[in-house]
Amino acid sequence: MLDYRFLRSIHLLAGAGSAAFLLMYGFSAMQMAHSSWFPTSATVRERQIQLKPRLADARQIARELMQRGVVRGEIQQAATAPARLAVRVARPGTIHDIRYDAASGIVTVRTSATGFMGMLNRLHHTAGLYHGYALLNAWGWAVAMVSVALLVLGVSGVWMWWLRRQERAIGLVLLGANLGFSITVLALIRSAGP
Amino acid sequence: MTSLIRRLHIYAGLLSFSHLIIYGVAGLAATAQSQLERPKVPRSVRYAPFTPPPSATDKQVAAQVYRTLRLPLARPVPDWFLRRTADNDLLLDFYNMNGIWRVVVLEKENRLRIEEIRNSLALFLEDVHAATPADKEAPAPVRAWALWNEFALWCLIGFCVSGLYLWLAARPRFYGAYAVCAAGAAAFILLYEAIR
Repeated sequence: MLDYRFLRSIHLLAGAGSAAFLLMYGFSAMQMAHSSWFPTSATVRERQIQLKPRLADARQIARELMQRGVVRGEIQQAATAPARLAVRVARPGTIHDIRYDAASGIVTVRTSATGFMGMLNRLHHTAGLYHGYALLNAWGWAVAMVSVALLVLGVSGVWMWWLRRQERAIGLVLLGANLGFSITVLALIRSAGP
Repeated sequence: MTSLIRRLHIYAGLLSFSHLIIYGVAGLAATAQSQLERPKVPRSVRYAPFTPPPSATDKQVAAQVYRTLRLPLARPVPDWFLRRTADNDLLLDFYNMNGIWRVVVLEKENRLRIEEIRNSLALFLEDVHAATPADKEAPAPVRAWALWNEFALWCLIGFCVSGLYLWLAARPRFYGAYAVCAAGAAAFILLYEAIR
């Protein structure tokens, strides 16, 4: 049986390690729930770069711009038309829309960047380890670790409460209310189909 | 004071326990996804008779399909989401947290093709964790869930603050926690700055 002191250390370490991320999730979720409290705006700038004319590969253009340090991120959309190529390179908070004129070789890069809350919002939506941009995969690992920490916090918290005998009666009511509500409502939603 | 905060921390934790577990599972489910696009394989297909009015617009047909089928927890398809299949039939996706009812209006056959695309449990929990009361037109069970979700969200922020207080008040010499806290904050700041 794990003793209270050990569980308290685990709980504290999981909370301390993930606090910065949990605050980010908390505030960005608050921003999504109450968007009027946190007005977000984006700054847009446009610039032109000269590349070789008659390139035919949108991804190649994106890579060329990445190598020159003009854009950073993941290639999210690429469209190839005979005379004009378009590609989108994005990372949380920043979107580069790139248009290439094949005849002149001129690339127009339109960059839209959000502020702090917009950035938190996009980070909240970023997860997974499948990205073509290494930093997003690093973030994905962080999300996985914070998710595990959250599970550890929940389980160790309930376990510690159970070991504190003086809180059991009221605790059982509160936990029962939460579980009863959650199971009932989620079962109702899940059984609605499809 | 410490005793009161500890009690509030415990009570709020018990009142939001299942939500915190769902947030954790949702994060792991998002980590396990191999791409942003979700699988859209129908688990069943059925047909229902339907004849659209000859002079109706796509928007009016979509509204009539919505009224005819009365799909649970689904809402009308927005105008900007009306699409057509390769055969030029009207395609309507009715979303809810469980997945999609994909309805194709087969006008020549006077019937609807209804595909049921069901989210896995992990994807369901991923959608459930994102419900907010900002969606004022959500069906009653989803709205009820969203309201408790909002409470859990406030609790999450409160746990960070009260947890910090309890740590410093009760175990100020637990130096390992300082190191772990600094490592977590540094990882967040470094990733934030590098990605920005």
